[in-house]
Amino acid sequence: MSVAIPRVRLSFEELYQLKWMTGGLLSLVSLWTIAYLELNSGLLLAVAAISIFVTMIFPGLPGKIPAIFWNLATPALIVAIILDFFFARPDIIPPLVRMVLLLVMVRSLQYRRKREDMQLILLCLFMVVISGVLTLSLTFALQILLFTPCAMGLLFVINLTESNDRGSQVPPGLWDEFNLGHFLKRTVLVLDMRLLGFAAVLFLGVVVVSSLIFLFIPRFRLDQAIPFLNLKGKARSGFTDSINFGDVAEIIEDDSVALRVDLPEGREAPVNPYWRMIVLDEYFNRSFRMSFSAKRENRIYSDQQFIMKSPPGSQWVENSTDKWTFYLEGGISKFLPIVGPFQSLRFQSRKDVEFNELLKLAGTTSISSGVLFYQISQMEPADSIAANPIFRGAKPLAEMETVFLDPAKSKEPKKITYPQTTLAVPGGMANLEILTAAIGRITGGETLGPREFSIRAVDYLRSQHGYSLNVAIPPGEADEVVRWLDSTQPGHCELFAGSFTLLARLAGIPTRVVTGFQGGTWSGFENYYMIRNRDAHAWCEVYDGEGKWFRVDPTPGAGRLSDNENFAALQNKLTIDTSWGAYFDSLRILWYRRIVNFDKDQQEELASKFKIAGAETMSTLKLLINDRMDALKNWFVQPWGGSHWVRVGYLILVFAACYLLLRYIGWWLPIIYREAKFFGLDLKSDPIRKKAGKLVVRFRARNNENKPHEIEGHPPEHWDQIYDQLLILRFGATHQRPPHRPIFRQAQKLLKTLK
Amino acid sequence: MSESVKPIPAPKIKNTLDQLKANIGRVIKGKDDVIDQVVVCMLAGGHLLIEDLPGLGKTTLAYCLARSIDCSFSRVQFTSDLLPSDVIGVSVYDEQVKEFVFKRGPIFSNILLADEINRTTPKTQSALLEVMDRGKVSVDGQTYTAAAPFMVFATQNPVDFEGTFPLPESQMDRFLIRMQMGYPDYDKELEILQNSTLRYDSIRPEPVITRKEIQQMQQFVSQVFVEDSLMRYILNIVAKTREENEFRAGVSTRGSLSLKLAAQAAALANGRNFVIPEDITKVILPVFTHRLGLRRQTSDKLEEREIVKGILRKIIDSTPMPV
Repeated sequence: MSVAIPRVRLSFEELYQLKWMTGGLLSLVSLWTIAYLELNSGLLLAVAAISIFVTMIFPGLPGKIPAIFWNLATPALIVAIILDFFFARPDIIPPLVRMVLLLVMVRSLQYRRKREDMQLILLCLFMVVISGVLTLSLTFALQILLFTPCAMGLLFVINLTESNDRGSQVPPGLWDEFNLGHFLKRTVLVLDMRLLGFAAVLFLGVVVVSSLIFLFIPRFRLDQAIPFLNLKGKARSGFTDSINFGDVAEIIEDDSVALRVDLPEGREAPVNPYWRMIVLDEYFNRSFRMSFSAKRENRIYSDQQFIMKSPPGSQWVENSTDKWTFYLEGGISKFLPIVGPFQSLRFQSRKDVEFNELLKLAGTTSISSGVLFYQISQMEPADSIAANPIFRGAKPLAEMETVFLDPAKSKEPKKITYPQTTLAVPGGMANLEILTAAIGRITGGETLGPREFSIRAVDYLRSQHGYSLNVAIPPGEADEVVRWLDSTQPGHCELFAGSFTLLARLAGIPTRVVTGFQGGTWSGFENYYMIRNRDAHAWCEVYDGEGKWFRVDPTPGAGRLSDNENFAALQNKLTIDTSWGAYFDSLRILWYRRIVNFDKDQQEELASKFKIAGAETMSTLKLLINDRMDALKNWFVQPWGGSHWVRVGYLILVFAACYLLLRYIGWWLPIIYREAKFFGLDLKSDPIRKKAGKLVVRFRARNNENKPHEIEGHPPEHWDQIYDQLLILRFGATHQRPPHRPIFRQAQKLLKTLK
Repeated sequence: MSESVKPIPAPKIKNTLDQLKANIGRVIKGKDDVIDQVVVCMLAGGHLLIEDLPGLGKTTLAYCLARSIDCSFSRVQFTSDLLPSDVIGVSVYDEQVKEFVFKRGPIFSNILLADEINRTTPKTQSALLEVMDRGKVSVDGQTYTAAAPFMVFATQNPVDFEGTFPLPESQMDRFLIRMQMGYPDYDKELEILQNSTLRYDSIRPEPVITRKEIQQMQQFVSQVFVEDSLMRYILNIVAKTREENEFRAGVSTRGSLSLKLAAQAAALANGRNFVIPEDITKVILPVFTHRLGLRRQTSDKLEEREIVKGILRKIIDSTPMPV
C-alpha cells in the first residue's frame, strides 16, 4: 500500500543553492581529471580545489569579497595568462590548461547567472576532454562517468531556475541563513522515485554514449595528429643520461608499473631479464654520465618502422611474428628498454627516434607524457653486446690504459673521449690507495682476465657489503664511491655497480655502468611482463678484450655472473603475480592492447606523399612563374617594334572587354533580380532588405526606450526621416527604393552618435 | 516589363484623410482610435460592425462619416418584423408604364446604418448580407448595382439578447472590422453635454472629400505593397489561430485576406505606399476578434470578446515580427 506523501518542492532560492553546489562539484571533478596531467601546477590545482571546496561548504563567502576584487581580477588574470603563455613557450598545452584552470576557479568562486554557468560547463568539458586525450588513462572512464551526471544535473537545475519568472536573477540574501545540513536534507526529500528513475535512464543512455566516446577517442590519436598537443613529459632523474648516486635507488621506492611487455606468441618468458636502457660510460665527481663523445653518436631518424642491421647469425624475416610489444608509461624516460639485439623497431605512428649505434641504445627525442607503444621484432635476450673495438681511429680498446682524472678540475672529463672514458678513474692519493688495496685483495697479485676478475671482484664486494637502500657513507677525503667501498656499509645497486666499475677500470679492464630495469613479475591473468619502477636497477658491462661487452651485476641477490648456469640457479625464477593489483593492471593491458594499432601507417604514408607532391608542385610552379616573369621583363627591355605594339593593343582590347563585361553584368544584375522577383521567383536574401531590417530593429529599440529627439549636429526630425527611409528600404516595393547607400550611412552615423 | 500603374500619392491621401478624421472628430469627441478604424474600414471598402451599448454615438458616427465624404446616408432600425423588401426595395406596378417598377429601398444609399441588426429575422439579415458581399441587388430577375462607395454600419447590442437572432459566424465574416465605441472620457463627455443636442440630424458637418476621391483612394489600397515576409507574418498568425485549442475554429482565408486589406488601408491612411508590421498589428484585433469564437461557454458576449482579444494578443506576442 502506498502512502501519499506530500510532494516537497524546492523553492527558487533552494534551486539556486542546488545549482551552486552542482557547479562546485562539476569543477572539482574536472580538476581531478587535470591532476593526472603532468603540468607542474600542483600548487595552483590544490589552491583551486581547496577554495572551491571551501566555497561549497561556506557558500556565503564569495558574497563577502568586495566587487573591486573581481574588477581587478580580470585584468590581472589576462596579464597572468599572457605571461604564462609567454614563458611556457613553445609549449601550448600546459599554459592552456592552466588558463582554463584559472578561469574555472574564477567562475566557481563567483555567484553565477545562466551565462556563467554555461561557461563553467564548457570550461570543465574542455578540461575533461583534454585530459582524456592526453592521458589515455583508464581513470578517464570513471571521470567521465562522474562528470556527465554532474553536468547534466547542472543543466537540469539551470533549466528549472530559468523557467521561473524571476529568470536568472540571483535572489538577494540567498546565503544569509544557509545551513548545509538542512539543505542536503531538503534535497534528499525532493528526490522521488520517478525523478530518480528518469535520471537513471538518462544516465544509462549517457553511459552508453560516453563509453563509445571513451572507446573511440584513443583511436584517433589527437595528440599525434595535432603537433602542438604533444605534452612533453619529464623523465625520472634516474633514467636520464646523467645520474647521481641515489637517483636510481629513489625510483626503487616507487611501486607503480613502469613498463608492460607482451611477449611473442610461443616464446617462454625470460627469467630475470635485464631491460637495458642507458649506458653511462663516464664517471666524475659522484655522477655517472653518458660522455659527450658517446652522446655525439646519437643519430635521429624519423619514421614509423626502423630496421636494424641484422645481428650476426640471425636472419632478417619480413613480417616476423616474433614481436615483443612494449607499453612504456609516460614520464619514465626517453630511452627505450630493450633486452638484446633486435631486427626492427616499430611505433604506432611516425616518430623521431634517436639511435646510438655505439652503445646500442634506442630512445625517442622527447619524453612522452602518455603511454608509449613500441614493437620490437626478433629480439633475443642477451648477456653481452657487440662492441666496436676500434672507434674513430683511436687505439684498440684492448690496448688502452687506465687514466686518472683530477677531481678538483671540473674540465677534466672533456680531455678524454669514448672509449677511453670506460677506463677513467678518479685520481688522487686518497682514492688510489683504497682502490689499489682492494684490487690487491681481489686478485692476490695475479693478473686476471676480465671474466675471472669480474667473478672475484663481485665476490669481494658481496663479502664486504650487504644490500640496503639506506646508505650511510663514512666521511673522508676520497671519492664517495671509494669511501663506501672502503667501509663495510651496506649499499644499493648503484654503489655496487659504481665500485665494481672503478675497481675494474683501475685493473685495466674497460667497464661501464648500465641502468634500466631488472626482472619484473609475470601477470598471471593476462600473461605479460609487469615491470615496476621498483625494478629499476644499475649494473655493469665489462669489455672482454675480444669485441664484446658482457654483463656483470655486482649487486647481491643477482646471479653470480652472467652465465646461464647461474641464471638457472637463481632462487626467484619467475615471479607470477596473481594479486588484486595484478588483476586491475591486467585490465589496463587489455585496454592498451585495444588501443595499439601498429598498422596505421598507410594514411600517414599517403599524407607524407601528398606533402612531398605538394612541395614539388610548389617548386615547379615557382620556377614556372620566375621563368614567365623573366620572359616578360626581356620582352619589355627589348627594342619595341611593330609586333610589340600590336600585342599591347591586343592586351588593352582584352582588358577593355573584360571591364565592359563586368560593367554590363553590374548593370543588369539588379534588373535581373527584380524581374526574377516579379515572376515569382523568391530570391530570399535581398541584402538591402536584410541590412535595412537590422537597422530598423536598432532604431525601433531606440524608439521604444525614449525617442532620441535631440542628437548633436542633427535636426530633430532627422531621426524620423531616416527611420522612414529605412522602412521603405525594408518593407517597400523594390522599384520604389531610394538609393540605399547614403541612407545606411546616415543611419549608422546617427546610431553611432547616440552611443 | 514595367508596371503601368499610377504611383500612389500617399502623402496627399494622408493629408486628406487627416482632414476627414479631424472633421469627424469635431463631433465624435475623444474617440480618435475609433475614427481611425472607421476610416481604415471605409478606405478598404469594408463593412463595419459596431458592437456596443445603445446611446454611445454609433449613429452619429455613421452620419458624420456620410456627411464628411459627401455621401448619401440612410438608417434602418432592424426589428423582428422587418422584411427584406423594407431594406432592398420593392417592385410596384406602375399604371402609366404598365409594368412593375422597382422602388429602391434604403440599401441604395452610400452609407447604410443597420441599427440592431440582430433583432431582425435571418431572412432579412441574409438579404442585407448578400448586398454587402456582392455589391449587387437582385429583385425579380433584375440586378441592380449598389451605390459606390457602399458601406454598411451595422450595430449590435452585446448585452440584451432577449428575442434576437444572433448573426451566424459565416455572416460575421463579411464584416471587415468589428469595433466598440466605449464610453467617452469625463472631460470629453462634459464637452458633449455643453455643446451637443440629442438629434443627429441637427449636426451638419461639412463635406471634406468628394465621393469620387473616396473611390480613387479605395482603388489605391490594393496597390499598397506588402512585402513577402509580411504576408508570411500574417499567415503565421492565422495558422496559430487555427492551432489554438480555445477557439472553435481558426481564421478563414477570407479573414487573412481581410487582414491584408485592412493593413494596406492602414498603411495608406498613414501616408505610406507599403505596409509595415505595425500596420498589421494595429488592425489585427478589430479584424480578427469577431471571426473567432470560443469553444467554451461564457456568460455574455462582452466576456467572450475580451477573452478572444487576450488570446489573440498572446498569439501576436509569440509570433516573431519580421525584421
